[in-house]
Amino acid sequence: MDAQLKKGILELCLLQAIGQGSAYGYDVIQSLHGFFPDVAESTFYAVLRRLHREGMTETFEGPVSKGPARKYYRLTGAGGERLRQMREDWSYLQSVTRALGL
Amino acid sequence: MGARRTVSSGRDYLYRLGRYLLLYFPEGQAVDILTDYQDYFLQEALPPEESLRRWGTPEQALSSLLAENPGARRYGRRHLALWGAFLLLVLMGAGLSGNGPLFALLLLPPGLLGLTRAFALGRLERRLPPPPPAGRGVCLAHVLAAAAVALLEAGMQWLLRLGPALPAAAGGIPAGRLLSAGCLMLAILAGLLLFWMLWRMLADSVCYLAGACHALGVCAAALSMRGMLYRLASLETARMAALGVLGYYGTGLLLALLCWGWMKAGRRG
Repeated sequence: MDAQLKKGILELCLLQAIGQGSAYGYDVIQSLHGFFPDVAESTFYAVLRRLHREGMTETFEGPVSKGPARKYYRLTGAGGERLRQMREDWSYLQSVTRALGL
Repeated sequence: MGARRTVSSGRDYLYRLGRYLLLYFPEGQAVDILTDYQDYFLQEALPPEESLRRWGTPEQALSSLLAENPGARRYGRRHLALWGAFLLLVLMGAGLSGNGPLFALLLLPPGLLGLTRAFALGRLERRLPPPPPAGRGVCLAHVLAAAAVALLEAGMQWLLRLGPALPAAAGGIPAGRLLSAGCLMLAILAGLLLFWMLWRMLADSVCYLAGACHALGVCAAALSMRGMLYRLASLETARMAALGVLGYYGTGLLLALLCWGWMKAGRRG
């Protein structure tokens, strides 16, 4: 898959996965890695960190019964808005590709 | 990014990466990044070779992280370490000669920055699983260092009793001069060790603070003993110097012990 295309899709997928509720970072990465096995896990983390840096997500430590606290992600208001915008773009692209018979 | 080395454990990997991160990122961001790695390593329970295969060496991981953050800049850790070490030595010397306040004002800010950095490393280390217990060699080094200070202290008390009646050595060399040269050598060696320990403290772990205290204790005791040899005529001054070393050394070791307790209490599983 083209790198630029993949980059945008990964961002959308990460926002979507996190947007479904508070998400444990490791679980999000693993579930997406299942769909994109040729993408290194470090790439997912890089996109996740960028989203966090841009203020699209916020993190908090969730309690666990044993072992260290886990890091969870959730969308901020700006993140939710970005996700909504990307979904619209994605729907538009789908309609275009369908119209073109792709 | 320095020499490529293998890693002995997941903890070793995380700690090395954490040290590098603190050179380029603010502490909060460094901890945030490291937590991602730690979560992943804990969940996957990877052997070190597999970690290296998936993520590259800590140096390579850092390179990728720096590529993600082009704005990251390197902190002047070496300068801070050197200034911190210099501060301690000068303060020690200034304390003896009575010119302390001026030197302290000049050197306190960089020294404090160095210590701040060391404790940032400590806070990061607290988040990681505990390291393997110290071997016999480390325990022996602690005992030997404490014994060296105790020996020097005993020597000073003995000299205080002898006072001006210090015996001359055979061959026409005054015993005092011979002792003085020995003390100077010991002080130089302990001073070098102190620099090394401070450097390791800033580069590796705040746990080296105990080693730095030992080295400072030996260095101060050797210098005090040397000073006493010239001041035996004034027994009161000499007595205060002899007891002062124990006070400083004891305080330093107490601080190191508190640091150790602080590190142990905050460990993440």
